[in-house]
Amino acid sequence: MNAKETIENREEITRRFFLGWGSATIIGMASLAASLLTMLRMPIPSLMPGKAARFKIGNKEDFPPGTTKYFEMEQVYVFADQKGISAMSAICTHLGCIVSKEQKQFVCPCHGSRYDLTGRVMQGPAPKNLSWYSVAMLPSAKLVVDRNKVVQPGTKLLV
Amino acid sequence: MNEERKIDSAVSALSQYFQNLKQFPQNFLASVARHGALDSRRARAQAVFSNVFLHVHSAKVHRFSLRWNYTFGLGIMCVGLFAILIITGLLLMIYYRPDTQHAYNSMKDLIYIVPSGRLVRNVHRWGAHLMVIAVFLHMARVFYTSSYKKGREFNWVIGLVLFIFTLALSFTGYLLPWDQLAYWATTIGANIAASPRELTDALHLTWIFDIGTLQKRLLLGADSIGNDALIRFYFLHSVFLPLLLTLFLMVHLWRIRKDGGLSRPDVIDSRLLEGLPENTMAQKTFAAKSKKTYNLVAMVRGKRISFDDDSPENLVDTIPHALTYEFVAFMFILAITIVLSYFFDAPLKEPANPILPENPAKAPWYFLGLQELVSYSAFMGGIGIPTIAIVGLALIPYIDRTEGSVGKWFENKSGLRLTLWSALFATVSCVAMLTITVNFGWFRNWFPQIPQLVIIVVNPGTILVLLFSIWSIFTIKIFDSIRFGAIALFTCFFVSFIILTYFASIHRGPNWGFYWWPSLWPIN
Repeated sequence: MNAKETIENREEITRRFFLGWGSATIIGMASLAASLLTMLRMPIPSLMPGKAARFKIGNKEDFPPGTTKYFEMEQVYVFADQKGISAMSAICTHLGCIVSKEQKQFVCPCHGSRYDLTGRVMQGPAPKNLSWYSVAMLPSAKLVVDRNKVVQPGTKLLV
Repeated sequence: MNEERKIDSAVSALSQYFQNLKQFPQNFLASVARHGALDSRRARAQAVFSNVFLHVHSAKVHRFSLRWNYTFGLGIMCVGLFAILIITGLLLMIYYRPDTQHAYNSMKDLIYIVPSGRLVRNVHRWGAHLMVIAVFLHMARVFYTSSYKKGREFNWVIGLVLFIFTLALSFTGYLLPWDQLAYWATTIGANIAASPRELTDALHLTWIFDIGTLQKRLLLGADSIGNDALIRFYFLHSVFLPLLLTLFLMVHLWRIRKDGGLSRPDVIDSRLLEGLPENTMAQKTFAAKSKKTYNLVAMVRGKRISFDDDSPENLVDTIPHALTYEFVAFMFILAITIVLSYFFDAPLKEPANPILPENPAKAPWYFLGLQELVSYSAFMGGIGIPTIAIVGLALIPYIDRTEGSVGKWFENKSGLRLTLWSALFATVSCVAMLTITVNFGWFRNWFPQIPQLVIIVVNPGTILVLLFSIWSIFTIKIFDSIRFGAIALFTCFFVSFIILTYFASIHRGPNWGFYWWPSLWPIN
């Protein structure tokens, strides 16, 4: 009886079999990978809506030494002293609540994290200090804070 | 003669037409219910077997499965509540708008203008809370009756998946009213999703692998909660998660059938079956070995439906008995939901205001225990410990493979005592832990410079996990039984969940400070 020669009753893999099934498999897997990658990247947003990271805060005359201003739309505190103007985030590093300012510290209402006036964590579950943001001056002499640029605490713009 | 016949056939076709017309109602009914009237056991069995909606049931059920104080009908209540939620959800979808500009106003319309809107919305809300409670109790019932053994292991895992879907559905639905409560509870949830950042930062890995930010962006469609988040949550809540839950529910119910029905003991004391519907034909028909012939329809696992012992006496028809008991359970939970909805309105606070955080900003009640843990470490409390808990639960049927007393609550008197002792142990541990943290704070209060990694690894949550594990292993040694160790661990988890939930809902006030009663909160 002439049994049809299939891979099961053959001793070796022929070139024909390998090239035929091999290319089919590779094309199949490649198609699967391509479609999965195409579909899976769709939920990851590419355009972030929301407020722009950079925002103008005014002129240097608006910030004489000793000023503290809170920009509530951007959730940023701006301080001015003899050494210059600095900006600090008001967003608690624990879970994103907005800290409130007291005399000598910042307190987060959600779990009671406390930061000193330079943003260093003193108490509570916050894992990191409050971020300092870069303050720069535009050619038009307007001051701008950039929340995408985190700087070392203590960085101040001398004006 | 031929003409006569021809005339006869012409007349009879026309009269046949009218006769068919007259008989339309009964013919139609017969075509729908091909088993005919449900007045014989055969018809009733056929009805269950051939109906696509009913055939998840077996044609007969064991009387033990109908015992109210065995399952308490909790599985039926879970499914029933899901059905109630789908129906009320569909109705709400007619008026709700998933857009930040319109969502809150559409809620107001639903409550004050839409006919029956207030009641339907309340039923949806209360149904959701009750469903979370029901799935917890159902899980506890399945665990304490050892119903995860003898081939039912994977069904337990599927049940856990359903549990997670239930919580996810509740969480995504919570945002939709777009009020202060919704917005800030979701802020907490989204930041928990981002909390792997706490771990990768502590390990200085964030620059290669920022899974925290990716998770948060995937969930919110942005870096903060806005329109993208609302539409994503609406999609998850109304379409994707219900679909997934339905699929897994199908598998879950199907497996119950293939596992031979609800779990029950191998040897059933006949006193336990008193008061349940009886199989009145059993004495007459099955006195001797069965003489019926059968076609093979399916292979069903287990030692069920064996016709050599007395079990046919204990099988009763699904129609009407099982369906009646299911109906009662469903009516019961429906009644509770409607009574609650009639007297208590679902809350709706002021419209969401991203600038003004709620104080205290609390998650929905079933996540409050988690929120307490999160107040010590975002990653450990929000992701680490829940993962440990879920993985631990999933492993139970695979670690505890003892052939114990399936179908018996708490195994035996020893098991009951162990459960009570474990509950006491868990209570004492939780209260002690909470007393320390309320009065003295945690590491960062005493050592401000301490690395975050230390806090991630050593915090009240992880210490409780350690204590419960030690208690469980100690139990395994003392009783020389893995099952008893499982009982100890599960009880600790269950009781501590209840205590932490209670504590965070009653005793945590503004700034997450400790207060003896909510009436003592300072008014802002």
